[in-house]
Amino acid sequence: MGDQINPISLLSVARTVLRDELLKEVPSNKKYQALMVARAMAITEREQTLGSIATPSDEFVQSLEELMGLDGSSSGMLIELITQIRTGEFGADAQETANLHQLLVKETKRKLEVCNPEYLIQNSVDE
Amino acid sequence: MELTDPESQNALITYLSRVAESDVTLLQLKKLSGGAIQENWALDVAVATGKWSGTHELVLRKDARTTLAASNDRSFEFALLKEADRAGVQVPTPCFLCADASVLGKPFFLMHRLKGTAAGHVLVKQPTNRDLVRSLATNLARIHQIQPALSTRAFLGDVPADPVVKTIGEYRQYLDDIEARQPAIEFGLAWLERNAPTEGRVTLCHRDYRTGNLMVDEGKLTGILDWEFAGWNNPMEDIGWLMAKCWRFGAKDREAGGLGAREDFYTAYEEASKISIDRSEIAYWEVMAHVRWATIACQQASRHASGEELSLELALTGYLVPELEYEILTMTGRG
Repeated sequence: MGDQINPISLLSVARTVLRDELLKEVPSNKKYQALMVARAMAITEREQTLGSIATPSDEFVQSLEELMGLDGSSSGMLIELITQIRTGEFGADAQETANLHQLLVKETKRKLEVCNPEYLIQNSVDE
Repeated sequence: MELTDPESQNALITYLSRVAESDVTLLQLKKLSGGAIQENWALDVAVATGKWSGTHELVLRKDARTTLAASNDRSFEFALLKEADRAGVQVPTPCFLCADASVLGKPFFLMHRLKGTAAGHVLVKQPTNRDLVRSLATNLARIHQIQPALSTRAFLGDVPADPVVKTIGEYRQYLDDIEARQPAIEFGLAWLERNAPTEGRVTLCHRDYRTGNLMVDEGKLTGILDWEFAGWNNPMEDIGWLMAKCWRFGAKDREAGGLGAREDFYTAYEEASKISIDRSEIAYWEVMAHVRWATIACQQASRHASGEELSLELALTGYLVPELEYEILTMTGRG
């Protein structure tokens, strides 16, 4: 067999069957659970293409390196960033705070594209 | 120990027969939806004789297998329900508390079942309801006026000198406990620290006063549910929680819990409490609300991710966090 089944397309077609054929047959007292299953499948599908939300994006890590002058693992950098936010090292300088805010908004939007792209469309605020 | 087990049902009937001093028959038992931290069961019983004779529609409330650090135990929640009931707050009338975990595996209590629905996504689709918003305000004012009895105070602990400092410290600790590295939430916490109100009252607060925990029947409030997070705090925290965008269930323009106008709520609260609300301060408490919900959502997701309690609902709650972070960043972006 030349063509291999792509896991993303498998998930996508399974979700289409669930949404278009099965959901209408689901009794009302189980509808909420069925919708949760559909949502979980949609998120997993997007995580496959857009990346996990559990780990920060390379772009975010790289920008943090530049902003904080640190290097090392992404988790180590996050711990350092959180420490600096808590101690007030980050926050004393308005420009630095604005730069961090901008980075966080960008990374949060990336995560929203995975978790709930509709939310961004309905709630987007001009930065 | 699941209540669907015959053994558990027998233990429950034995317990009910003892406290009601009568033969008791179980007519119906059904798990209710919702309640990621507590299990709620609709329970219909027939009591043969004595003070409780007749049929009763009840709710049995017990801890889920795992719970949250901030969640109060059933004895505490039962005591608070009684306090609220005495103070004229609309709540389900509390009946019996069973603190003995050997009966059903966890302590539980029974209360009368209210008519209506608490489902937020249903309630926000109903027409704007000014009277409902006003009764929410009146009930919240009554909660904030409760002077708890000494026995309840023992559960509540000392009144914090500065509830904002205490709350921010707790949220940081909760995040550390589950090793959650969430810089956007931390950004919000730092903003809350820098912009904290310089003065404020401390009262008993419900701390989960929102659409979803309010029972409504035919447009009328029938009761305030879920007292598990109640504690001392600035009463404006409860108002900010109800007004927060994250609890409007998509009805963004109806700022009072997706049900109506915030000004109707403020006016009714002021009439009932004789205390004026600083409108500009509520924005601060709405940031606090989003930070609080984001922290709790991280904890909920962790209960699933750690394997403590595998649950699709808990797992999906973790995917709500970016929405909350986005709102935190939007509200705090101006310094």
